[in-house]
Amino acid sequence: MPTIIEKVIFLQNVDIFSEVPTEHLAHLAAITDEINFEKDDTVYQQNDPSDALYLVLDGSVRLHQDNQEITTAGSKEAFGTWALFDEAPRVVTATAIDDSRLLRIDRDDFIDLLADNVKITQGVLKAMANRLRGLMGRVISK
Amino acid sequence: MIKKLFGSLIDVRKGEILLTVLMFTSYYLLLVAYYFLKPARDSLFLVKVDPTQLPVVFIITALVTVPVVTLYNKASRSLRLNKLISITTGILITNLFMLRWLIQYDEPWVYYTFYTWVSIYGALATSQFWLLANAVYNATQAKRIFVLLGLGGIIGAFTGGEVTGFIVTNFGVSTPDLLFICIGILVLSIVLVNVIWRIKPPIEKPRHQRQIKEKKESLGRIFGTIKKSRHLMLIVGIIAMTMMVASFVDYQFKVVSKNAFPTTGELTTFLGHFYGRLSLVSLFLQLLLTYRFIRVMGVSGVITLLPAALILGSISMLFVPGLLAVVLLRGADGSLKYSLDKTGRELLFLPVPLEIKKRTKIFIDMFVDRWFRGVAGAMLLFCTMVLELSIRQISIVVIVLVSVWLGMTLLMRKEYINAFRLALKKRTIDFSSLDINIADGHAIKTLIASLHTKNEREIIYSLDMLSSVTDKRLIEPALKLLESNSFEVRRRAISVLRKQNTKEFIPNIARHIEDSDPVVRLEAIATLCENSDEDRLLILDRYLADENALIRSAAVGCISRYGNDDEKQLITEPIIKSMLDIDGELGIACRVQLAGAFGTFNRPSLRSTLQLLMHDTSQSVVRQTIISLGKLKESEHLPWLIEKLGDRKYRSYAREALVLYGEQVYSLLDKYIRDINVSLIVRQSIPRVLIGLPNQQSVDLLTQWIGEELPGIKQVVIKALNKLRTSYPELDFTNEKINRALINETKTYYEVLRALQLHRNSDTPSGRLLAQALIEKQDNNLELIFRLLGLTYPPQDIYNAYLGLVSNKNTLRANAIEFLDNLLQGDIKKLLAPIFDDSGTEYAARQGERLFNFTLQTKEEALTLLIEGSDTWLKACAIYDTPGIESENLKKLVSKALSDDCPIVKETAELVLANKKY
Repeated sequence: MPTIIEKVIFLQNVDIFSEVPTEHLAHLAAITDEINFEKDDTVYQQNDPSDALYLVLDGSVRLHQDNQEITTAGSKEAFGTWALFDEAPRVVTATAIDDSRLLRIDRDDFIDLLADNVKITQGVLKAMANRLRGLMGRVISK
Repeated sequence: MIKKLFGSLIDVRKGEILLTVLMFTSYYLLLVAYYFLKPARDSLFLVKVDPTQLPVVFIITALVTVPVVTLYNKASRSLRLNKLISITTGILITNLFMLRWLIQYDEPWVYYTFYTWVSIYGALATSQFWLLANAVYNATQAKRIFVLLGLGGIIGAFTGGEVTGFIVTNFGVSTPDLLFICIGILVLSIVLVNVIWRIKPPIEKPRHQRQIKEKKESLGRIFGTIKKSRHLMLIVGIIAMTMMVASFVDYQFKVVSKNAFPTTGELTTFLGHFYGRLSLVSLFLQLLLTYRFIRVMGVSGVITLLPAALILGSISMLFVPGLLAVVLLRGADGSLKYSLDKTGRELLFLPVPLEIKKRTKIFIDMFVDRWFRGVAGAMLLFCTMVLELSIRQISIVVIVLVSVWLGMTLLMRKEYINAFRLALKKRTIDFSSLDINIADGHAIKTLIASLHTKNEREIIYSLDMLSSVTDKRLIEPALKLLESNSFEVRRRAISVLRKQNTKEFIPNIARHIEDSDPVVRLEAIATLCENSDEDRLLILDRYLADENALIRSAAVGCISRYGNDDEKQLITEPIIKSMLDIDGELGIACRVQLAGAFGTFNRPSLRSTLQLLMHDTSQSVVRQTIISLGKLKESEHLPWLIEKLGDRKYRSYAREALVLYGEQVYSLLDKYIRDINVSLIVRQSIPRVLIGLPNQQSVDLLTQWIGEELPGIKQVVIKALNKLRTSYPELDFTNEKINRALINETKTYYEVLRALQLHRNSDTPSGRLLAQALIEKQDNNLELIFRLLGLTYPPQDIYNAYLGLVSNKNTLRANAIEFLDNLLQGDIKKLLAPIFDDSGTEYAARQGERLFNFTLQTKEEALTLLIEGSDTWLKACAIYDTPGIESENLKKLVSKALSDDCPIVKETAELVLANKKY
């Protein structure tokens, strides 16, 4: 089981948390749970309710629609990010490729934390604004 | 009618009486003194100098008044108001002594000086009284009490004018000796102001009002704003013409009066009576006719009354010149200008957006008014000296000027309605900023028209603006809106109907006692009670016994909001029990009303019911109960309310309730914030409670907490102080503890900077995490340094400097550094200078070590400092980074951290020791 400080180091690599101060990532780390999946286990199914974000500590997870692979999340990568902000059902299925250790952030716990911690909210909004600005830049350059 | 008139005029509530009596007396005395001085000034000047010199003194007055009033306004921003008024009045008293002494030499320049001085006194005395009134009363009180204070002024003017004539005629007091009486009155007024200041309660201003920042703007920009708006241009034009014509009429009046009463004594008596009685006519017009005229004629009609009266007066002066004609002319000008016309002119600003109004109105009031009096002086000089026009011929000039003025008022009619429509669409009218109720016919008509639109927000906005208006035309659209699907619209519609006489529409309103919205139900019952011939107690008793629980609960809500003690007795325990027994959504609605009612009556027999509501399963019920507990102010509930600060669902309600407790909350908050067994969230929420209690005691307590460096709350305490400082600059923030906190924060900044330099190039995950945490800490330190500076120096300037300093733009950064270099002083400047200096972080860190006498040469020393420090996050990061360094001392410190109170520090120490990397 990783400690809070180890979780913080992982969370720093998640795009939407990249602008959150490390001290506040520690609060975020405190609401994460470690979950283990064996090879070929399903993390979630397409059309399941979106209720959590996952971060790969060890192993890798395949994101696919039926047999069509969309992407793979490897170590230190996050998937299911939008579940934190959107209640729409999962659009892909997530299946463990190997035995995998994941960190899970529950949507309701996350919303509660945002409500109490303005620095995390600011950091997440800033990261999303950066992402949007990047997308706009790409559209304009095309 | 008289009762209605005076009832609305004297709406002073319990707790405001003493203050209002003192304020009333203060304004009364100031105006008594002014109306002693005014006739004395005029008669001495007219007799001792010459009426032909009046235009010259008009120009001098205009030229001198502007800088004096500007200086005064500047001083009013930096000095505490009671001090400012005492100092200014002290200077005025000294001036009066000097002037009385100089008058004996009978030199013409003395009378020029005296004339100008009295004009300045008039402007300053009025201005500082209203500044004081604004500091003493909040916006809601102002609307009720300012009319009464204005009445004090008018009675003072009447007394001053009449008594002047009386004592000069009957007691043989010479006109110059009136100055001694004024000196006595001014001394008394200093005493009064200081008593008022001592007993005045702290004022909480509406949040939106507090956050509007004062902007310094050039005259050029204000001109630009005015030029862009035809509406504002016409306002400026109308005010300019009003002031110019007033100067011409004043000249005619004074010359004719001097000819009719050649001696100083006679002239003083005549002028005293004239000015005093003019105030009385003005009062009569203001109280009895202004509201009616505005309602019937609209703003554009009212503003044509004064020029119309003046044109008639000037025609009579042209054909039948003499004292009677000029008295009527000057009387019309003086009485209408400060009653009907003034209200009309103020209402012209109604459709101007608040921000533009704030900027331009001060300019118009301060400069347009006085400049054009000066321009009129120059024109008069030209007419009398160059063209050698007689008093009679001057009437022709007046007629020409008034014709231009009338033309402008006609143009304004169309412009005002257009501007009003536009403002309504954009919702830029700020109703709360008005000191008067909307009575303007056009305004009401336009607002009523907007009730027929399909835009819900516009309807809600218009209903809000009409909430205090009584007008039959409102009944029909409001009744229609009662059928709206939006509960927001229905709530406002019924609130508007409550103000009208709606007896004939009782059946329409009665239907809404079963409305789906609780507030509409409650208001429907209140409206029925107010408009029915039946006894209120009987009506309420019937609704309380109704078999429909929603109606019963609405009756409970209505009684708790509007009921008197007898009506509250109707809410018996069986009724309460019947409401508690209901399940589901209906039960929640009933319990919410019941919880609200508990705030208005306190019965020991209902303790157990209150406990049930405090622990209700519904959030709405608990929230309402929390507010009611705040109203009850019982100390036994304080601990429970403070604990509720820790629960996000109830935090803002608990804060509101604690604020309602007032001063009795301080000792317990102090105890809780110091108790480390209380959750950090609760302790961190406490400083925000004090923002709701804006007084010196809150500032002192917050400052004490800063001084004691209570763990985990420093930042929230400083933020709370910043909010108080910005919103209540009259509070005193000069404190050694703040200075000490600033020095400590600066020291930490240098330590962190040095530690960061030693860790900046770390390439391990733990080293990079520590470097990142140090960067964040440094940013946080800098913010706190500026927040603390904002408590001592002007907060807006400090905030701008902070933004400049952290900006990526070199120019902004350079300007900020230059500004801080000029602003900061003493030791603080010396300590902070290296941080702002552009010589680089290496230089700043070295200077920091020198200034605070510490050295950090190695990573080990830096880690030791951080592990021994009070910042738990830096401590954890530093512990996590220790394995890379061979050090027995560090190992000991990590082992010691195994017993740290902070779980993250403890957990990290366990991790590091378990990995056995030492």
